[in-house]
Amino acid sequence: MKKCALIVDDEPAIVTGLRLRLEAVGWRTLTANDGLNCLRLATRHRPDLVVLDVRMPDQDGLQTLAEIRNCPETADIPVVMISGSAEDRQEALHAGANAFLTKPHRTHDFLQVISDLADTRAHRPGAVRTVTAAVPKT
Amino acid sequence: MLTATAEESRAGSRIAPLEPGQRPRPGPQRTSQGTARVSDDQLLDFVDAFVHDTNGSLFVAAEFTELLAEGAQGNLNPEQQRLLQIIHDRTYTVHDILESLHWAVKLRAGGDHFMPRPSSVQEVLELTIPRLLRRARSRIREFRTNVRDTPPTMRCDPNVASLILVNLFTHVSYLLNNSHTLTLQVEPLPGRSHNACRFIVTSGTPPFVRTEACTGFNAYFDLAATMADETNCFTLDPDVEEGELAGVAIPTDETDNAFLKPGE
Repeated sequence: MKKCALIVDDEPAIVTGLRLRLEAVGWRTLTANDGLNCLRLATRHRPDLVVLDVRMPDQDGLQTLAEIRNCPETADIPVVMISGSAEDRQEALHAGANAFLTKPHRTHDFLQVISDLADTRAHRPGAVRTVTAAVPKT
Repeated sequence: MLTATAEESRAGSRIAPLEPGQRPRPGPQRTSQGTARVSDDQLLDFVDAFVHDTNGSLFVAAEFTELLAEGAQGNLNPEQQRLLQIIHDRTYTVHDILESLHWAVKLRAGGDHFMPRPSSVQEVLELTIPRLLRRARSRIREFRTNVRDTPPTMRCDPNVASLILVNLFTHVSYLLNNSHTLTLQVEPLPGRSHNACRFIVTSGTPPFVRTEACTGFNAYFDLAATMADETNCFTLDPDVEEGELAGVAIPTDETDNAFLKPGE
């Protein structure tokens, strides 16, 4: 059975990019454009992974992550936080993200993080890796 | 023909108008000459939002070109593949430039943190060389490294060290008239109160007086205020010889000065 990822970003083009990338490597995807929809879908579908943008209007990714961790149904879902600013790394990991990636990131790094987390259904904040330097594939 | 939805074409921006009841930020101040001026903190806020938003668009450009290249394999001729690869690589070049801008403004505002950890000259070079070549490839004919007798481990923030080196050497490359062969030489720096490595760029023929590069770099980052030797983190190397273009010294030992604050 395909693994399921919930992608959350307020920018539709970024959601599209992440969705196509994950589907290309065999994942099923759900998408949300804000924190409230993220919580609703996470509770209902219990995805294997959440890819969560840090900076979103209304309820940002950090608040959303806190609610994911506080909810018994979703507390153990691995969460990868992404942001266009490396400044958000510390806060994201401190809030309980399992990994942090900057935009733009290398596809290889993204897939490696996803692969590391795919079978890790446990709340292990910051336990996997962080990637902040982006270097194109050669 | 594929068309993007209006939503997909919209670039998100966090530089949003103020909500009703939200306290406005102090606006630009007027100087005694009547010109407008913002504080370093205001500039940092703006640049942080600008970098964040632009990186989002760069992510879209990089990801979509990669997905297109993968999906069209066999249907693109070599020239089309090369053009897609160039677009893809250029997104990361812009990303590097943005990171440098962000870092320079953070440094200026006193908001940059070093995160020293056990690292190595090799790790610093692995971060530095691809960034440097992306930034200055057209001005460098050949790039060599020469690493001699450096300690196997050094304690530093490799990302910040890399940004320093890339910006210094990119700045140096702007002063070259034509494409040159550059060598990045790394060696222990003896005779200091702390162990340090020297990172020096040399050229076969000295195309300019080396102080030009250092002076320019100093002015660019206001390094005189932020990177005096007492920070014990790294400094422009004052012992660069004629024929060497510019150099940076990075200590390899433990330092408790992990936080830079200009003017203190």
